[in-house]
This record gives sequence, structure tokens and C-alpha cells, in this order.
Amino acid sequence: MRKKQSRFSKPVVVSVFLLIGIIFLFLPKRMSSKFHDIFVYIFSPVLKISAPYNFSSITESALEKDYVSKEKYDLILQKNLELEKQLKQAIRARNQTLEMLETVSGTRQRLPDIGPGHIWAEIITKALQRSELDINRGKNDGLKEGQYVIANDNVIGTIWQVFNYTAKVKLLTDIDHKMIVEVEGLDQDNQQVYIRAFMKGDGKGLCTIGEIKTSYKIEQGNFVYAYARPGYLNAPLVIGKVLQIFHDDSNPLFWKIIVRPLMDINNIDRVFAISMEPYERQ
Amino acid sequence: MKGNDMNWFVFAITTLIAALIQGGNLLNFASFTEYTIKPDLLIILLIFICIYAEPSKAVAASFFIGFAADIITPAMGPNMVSYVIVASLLTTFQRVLRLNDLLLDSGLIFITALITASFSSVISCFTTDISCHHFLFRLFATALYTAILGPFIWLLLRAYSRFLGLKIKR
Repeated sequence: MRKKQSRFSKPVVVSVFLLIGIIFLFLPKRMSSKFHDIFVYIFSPVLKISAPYNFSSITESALEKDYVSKEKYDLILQKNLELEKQLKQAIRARNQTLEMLETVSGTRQRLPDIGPGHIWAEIITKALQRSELDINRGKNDGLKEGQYVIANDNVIGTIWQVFNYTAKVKLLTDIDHKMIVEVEGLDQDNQQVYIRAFMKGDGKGLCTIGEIKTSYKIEQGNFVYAYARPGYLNAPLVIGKVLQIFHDDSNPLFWKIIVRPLMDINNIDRVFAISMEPYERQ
Repeated sequence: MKGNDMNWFVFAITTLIAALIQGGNLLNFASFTEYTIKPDLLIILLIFICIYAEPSKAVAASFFIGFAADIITPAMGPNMVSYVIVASLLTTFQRVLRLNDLLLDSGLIFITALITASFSSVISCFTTDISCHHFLFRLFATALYTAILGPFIWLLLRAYSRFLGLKIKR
């Protein structure tokens, strides 16, 4: 039996497909990521089938009462945007007044801190297996690496990489994500304290905290907060709850704490990053 | 092998299933270490097609497997290019590469997975700012896991090959 040959020779096929591949390679990211978006949109029910450590298992049913409907969320979002606009106008008016005061009094005054700004962003893609989100705001919108990202009043991660118009958010649960947190607990005198520690993701939907002395009393269900870092966050913000607490095998003098983040990444379309420096969009 | 005439519909379904398993959370069941190392099913399929399909069709198929590998990530292109290049090399030596030995097949999959993933990463570096922590460990571990699992998946693919339109001498 004679071998059936295709109409085109191998070099032609290689050249054509290589060329198409190169065209795809140099497509603008916004265009090329559409393919991924469409794929995820169509096959999301299949893609979501997962091991017990999936993101949907993170949400506690008891916490669902804390969430609002989409309509209410949009209304709050709109109000928030209006308030931000008013705040910007007020800041501009105040700055003008201060300048006038400086001129009149001949003295130089330090401008007071005007507080953090919120940079709203929509999620472009959710690369959940890598615990990353792509958002549609970037360097041109004032985003910087390390800024906290918030959704539904909880810190969900930090800005990991910033491009001109987009940015990557590394979720708390990613294995490479580390941050300083404060854990609610009691000291030896039964006084409430917030114990500072490092928290890192386990890559499977949870986070771990180590190196907290066993002299502290920490219970299951205690809140864990993002530590207020100068220049990044001016007040602690809730991250999650203590899920499990046990003696660290490698050092029995320390607790090993498993934290369940409060985020429900599957139901988030928008997030905002906290920028401590006021930024005027160019 | 004689009279190969690929069934593109079955091939598309097979590639789609592999991409869905690869890109979704399903394979997390079989992942290990804290870096969630998973076998690369699309590479296993790529090498199989390159060895047993007619060269020009294998190259075309490799492009679509590369497309599937790219579509499960936000960046398009690196895998398409690297898969086509690797496929053109593999098809050149396809007669030599029909080893029919589990250990040798495993070695072939390991080397090809390493080369393809390295090549994709190098191309990604030129076009995106994507960086990956513990890159070398992930690269080697994924290639090793793929190489261990690959020959067994090939056994399934060999049994399934007539539906793909590939006639393999046993």
C-alpha cells in the first residue's frame, strides 16, 4: 500500500506554522489574552473541577451573610467613585487654600497626609493554578509592586509585577507570596495582643504562619490581619481566620498556624489596590 | 507504519481533553511538592504524534498542541513556536525515535520536555516580563514527572491510535 503523502512538504508546513506562531507571539497582550479569556469562559465548569484544596472551598458558608448582592455592590462602587471624585476636588481646593496661606503668611507649611487612594481595577484573567490575577491597571495608573490588593473588604494579595497598562496580583495563597501579618491572641496575662509574624501561602488555597511562641494563646477562628506598613497600608486589614493551630514539628517552642483566607476569588470581578501616594491619572 | 491519515476531529478532541486536564485544577490531585509539580500531558501527546504521524501532519498537529498549551496561559505564542520547532526536529529523526522501550521512551520524553519548556521560557522572556520562582527546579521536576508518566500514557495512546488515524506497527 502506498504511503499517503500530504499536499504540502514539511519545510512549507514548518515555515507557515512558525510564522503564525510568531505573529501570535507579538500580538498585543490585550488581544492575545482574549483567547485565554474565551477558553476559560467556555470551559470554566470543567477547569474548576478540582482537588479538595480549591478556591471555592475557601469561603465559609457562615461568612456568606457578609456579602452583598451584585446590584448593591455596583451601587456602593458607584458611590465610592463619586466620593473619590469629591475627595479629589476637596484636596485640590485645600491645596489652593494652603498655597494662598503660605503666600500671605510667608511661612512654609508641610502638607498633611491626605490618606490612601483606591485604584480600582477589573480582573482580566484568573490564573488560579498559579494563584495569580491579571488586572487592567498598571504603571500608568499609579500601581507599584508591593501594594495591597483588596476585594470584598479583605486583602487578597499584593501587586507582584507591574506593566504599563496591566499588573499581576499574587494571591495570598501562592507558594511564593510572603507578607507580615498580625494574629489575634492572648499573652501570658490574658491581655489581647496582636502578634506580628510572617505568613506565606501553601500553594493549595491556604496560608501558614510559623515562629509564634507557644506562650501566646491563639485559638481557632481568631482573625489574622495584614500588618500596617508605612507607605503601603495605614491600618491593619483582615485577611483570614486561624483554621488550625499545632506545635511546629521542627521547633516545639513555636506554633504552626494554618490560615484560611476569607477571599472568594471565584466571585470577584473587581479589586482595588491601595496607593498611599495620591496619583493624578495622566 | 503505513498509510497514516490523521483523523483531525479525534485529534482535536484529544488535544482539548489534554488541555483541559492540564490547564484546570483536575491534575492537582496528582501534583506533588509545594510547587504543585504536574506532568505535561501536551508534551507527551506532542512527542507521540511527532513519532508516529506523517511529518508534515505532525508539524501541523504540533502547532495546534502548542496553541492548546498557550491558551491555558495568558501569554500566546511561546509554546506554538517552540512546539513547531521541536516537532520539526523530532519528525526528522522519527524512525530512529521509535524505540518501543519504556526506559528509552522515558528518556526521550524527559529530554524533549526539558528542551521544549526551556525554549518556551526563553521565548517568553523576550516578549513578556513573566518570571517564575525556582524555575530550574520546576523545569526539571516537571520534565521528570512527565518522563515517568509519559510511557504509560503512550501505551494508552497506542491502543487509541487507530482512532487518531495512526497505524502503528507493534
